[in-house]
Amino acid sequence: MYRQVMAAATVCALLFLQAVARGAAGANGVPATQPAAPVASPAVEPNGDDLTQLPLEDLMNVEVTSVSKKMQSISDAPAAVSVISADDISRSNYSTIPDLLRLAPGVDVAQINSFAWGVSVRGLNNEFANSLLVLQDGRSLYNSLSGGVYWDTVDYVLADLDRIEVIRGPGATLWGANAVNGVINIISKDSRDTQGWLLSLRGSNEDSDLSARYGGRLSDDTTYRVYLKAKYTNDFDDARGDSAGDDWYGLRGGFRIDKHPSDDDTFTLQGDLGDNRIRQATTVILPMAPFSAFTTVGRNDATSNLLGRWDHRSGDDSDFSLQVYYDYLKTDYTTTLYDQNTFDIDFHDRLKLGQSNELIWGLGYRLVNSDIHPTLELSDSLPTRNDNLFSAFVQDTFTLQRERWFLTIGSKFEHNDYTGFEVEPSARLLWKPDKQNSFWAAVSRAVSPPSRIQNDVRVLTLFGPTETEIIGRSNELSEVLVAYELGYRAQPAKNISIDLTAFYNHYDRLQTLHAGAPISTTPLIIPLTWGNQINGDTFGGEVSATLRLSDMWRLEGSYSLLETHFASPDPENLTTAIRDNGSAPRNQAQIHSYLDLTRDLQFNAGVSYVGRVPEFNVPGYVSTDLNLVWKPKDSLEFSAGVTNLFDNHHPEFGVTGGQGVASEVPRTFYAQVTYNF
Amino acid sequence: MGDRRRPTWVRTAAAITALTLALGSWCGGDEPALARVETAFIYNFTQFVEWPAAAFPGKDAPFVVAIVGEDPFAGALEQAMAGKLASGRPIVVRHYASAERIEGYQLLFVPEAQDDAVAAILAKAAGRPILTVGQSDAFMRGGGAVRLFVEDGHMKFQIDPDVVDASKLKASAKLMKLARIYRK
Repeated sequence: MYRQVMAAATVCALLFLQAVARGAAGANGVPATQPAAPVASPAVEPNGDDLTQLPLEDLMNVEVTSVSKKMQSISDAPAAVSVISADDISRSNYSTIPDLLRLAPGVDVAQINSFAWGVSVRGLNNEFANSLLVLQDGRSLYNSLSGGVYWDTVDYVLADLDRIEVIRGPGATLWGANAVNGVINIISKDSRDTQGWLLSLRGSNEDSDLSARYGGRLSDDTTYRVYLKAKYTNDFDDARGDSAGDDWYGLRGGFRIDKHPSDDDTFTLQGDLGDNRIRQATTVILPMAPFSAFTTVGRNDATSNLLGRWDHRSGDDSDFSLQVYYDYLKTDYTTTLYDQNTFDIDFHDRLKLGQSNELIWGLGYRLVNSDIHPTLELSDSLPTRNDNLFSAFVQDTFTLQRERWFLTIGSKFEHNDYTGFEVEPSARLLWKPDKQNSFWAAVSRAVSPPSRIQNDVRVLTLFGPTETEIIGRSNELSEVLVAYELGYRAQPAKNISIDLTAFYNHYDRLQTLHAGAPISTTPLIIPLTWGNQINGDTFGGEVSATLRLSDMWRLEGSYSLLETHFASPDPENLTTAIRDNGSAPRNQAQIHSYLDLTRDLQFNAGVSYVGRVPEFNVPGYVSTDLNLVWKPKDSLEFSAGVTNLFDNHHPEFGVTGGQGVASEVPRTFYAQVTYNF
Repeated sequence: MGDRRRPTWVRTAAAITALTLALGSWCGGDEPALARVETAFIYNFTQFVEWPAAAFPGKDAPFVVAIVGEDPFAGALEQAMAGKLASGRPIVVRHYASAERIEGYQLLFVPEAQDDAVAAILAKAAGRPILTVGQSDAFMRGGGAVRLFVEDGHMKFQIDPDVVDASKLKASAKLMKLARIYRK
């Protein structure tokens, strides 16, 4: 620990010296003289503040959303929202989308092994965390077999990502089922902003990837891009330092076409294909003694999708969007052979009604066709299912007092084939006493319907020395959340913004498993039936702040607290809770520094603390990440850094089933080169 | 191990927070002002667009950037152009209250505040070797050549290639590649 603190202190001291040098030079608007930086580049003109000397490409990358403007737009949202920008992504060490989510305040990202992550917000973390809704360009990434997201299948050319929006707290009124504890939107750039070639090569002791993208023009108003990305992730170590045997290859490719026939219309057509080949350790059930074996098997996760969308703006405050997509997901390893085809159509419309009402409404339909190819471990009496989801929502924002008080009320109405009719209303109040401060409060209801595994599937699994047969039940209910939230945002000075949120969540009908009399004695097999037997409460909050010390230096920090109190299941009924009080850390904190040493050299540093995960007895850890990004030319970027500097490897989470075994997240040294032309 | 870490961590975090807050109030830094980014774009347009020799009244005539109406840049344009050349000529910035009396300029900036008068202003420049740069949709609809706008936190620009062609100007391939193409 002492070493971490010393290193953090050293980094801070260095940054401090930098700021002093810059602050002194740039004061009073006097053109900055050569900064007294240890890394002084001859490319810095005497007039270092002169933006006209920047190449046009770089100028287009200058962040012009000042803190105040960003605050202005985000402060209009009566919800806990944060954005991971393209700039944050390019300055980060991380090479995967789930890891990038660590940058957002209050997101609990726990890597399980080289290919699986548990990602959640405000608790209930799990390898199949079904209370977080994740969308990529408007397409749901939820797997309806076990819930949650197969994070290894979620990837992109990171330089072509526009931003990742993270909403903490329920978003079910707009997004529907599973938007219980949060919503994540991964949004790629319009193809007109990714013209030309991009080649990117990354290498590290743990992963390497190669991306190639070409963007071109089909006509005056139509642009496209195509990409290919190949990656390899080394096997992680287990707790003893031995190989966990979980290395994998991933290959994906795709395209995006955008047509802008007018300023008000955008047509988008995009698609991706992905294929991952993973080695995963798995317990295989054997029909005779010793009845089970622990072995390493090959796993194949495949995805494909095709999406079309029409966005139309009919005025400053009115627009509509019509989206249709098809999505395919397959996971295939010895014990599990599952695929799903999703067809989804969604329409939403926003319009102004009179002076003081802004109405949003929408309709949607989704068909999920899923197939379980029976294995000894996983089977279903009805292998193929077609599940329909009908949804409608309406939400109105009333201006109670111009520019001061706003009330947003709405609800989602859904019908799914598992639990029938679901209502997800919310009410949100926003008060902006002045331009620098805003307060909001919200009450909302959200649900997570059971996934297929809880409904009708039979799972044979090893539970200690005993085999258990987990039996779905057709009347399994949705988990229900009623959330109460309070928020405050402020910009006390031009260069500081602060965001505070507090929440109290009450959950009903949380999932449980109930043991019955043994159905076999050799081997001993105990049946477990799903139920909804426990209630629970969580409360906590998040604090985040951005501080712009100068044009060249920005600091971002956050802290989040989570207290979990789920009721104990009734031991007399041999009940087990699926939701563990200790599935997420109580405390998390991080601070990131984004510093431009010179015009073409950036130094980025982050220190993050993640508390203990009691469910898996995983200790808390501190991760220190550093990197340098050097752009010697418009078209060329080198970066190199280290992640998890002071730690050989550490565990972050455990496994409850399906996703192999847990291994430890290693220290990673990486280097990357990106060439644009 | 986890339990022993927390107090030290909390102290460190508190120390870092205190340090950064102290720094923040002391440095009082500011974000790159929008005006500086906009004016840097305007400078770039003078570099990536080619004006014919006939666009200038004489061999020694400067390159004139004209602004109509109130200066939205609060002097940042003069600062950005100071000591710089365009088409091999020193750049000067001139301010005009309205479009009526302006003459002999190569680039005309039309602030959004002039939207009501945009048709009259653009009529003065139409078909002549003048690059018009504006900020609004109305400006592009009225026949403007280049529009600067902010989207997703970045400054971007639109070019109407037909208007540029009609002005006998040549925009470089690089500029066109980075631009959003606007067609009426």
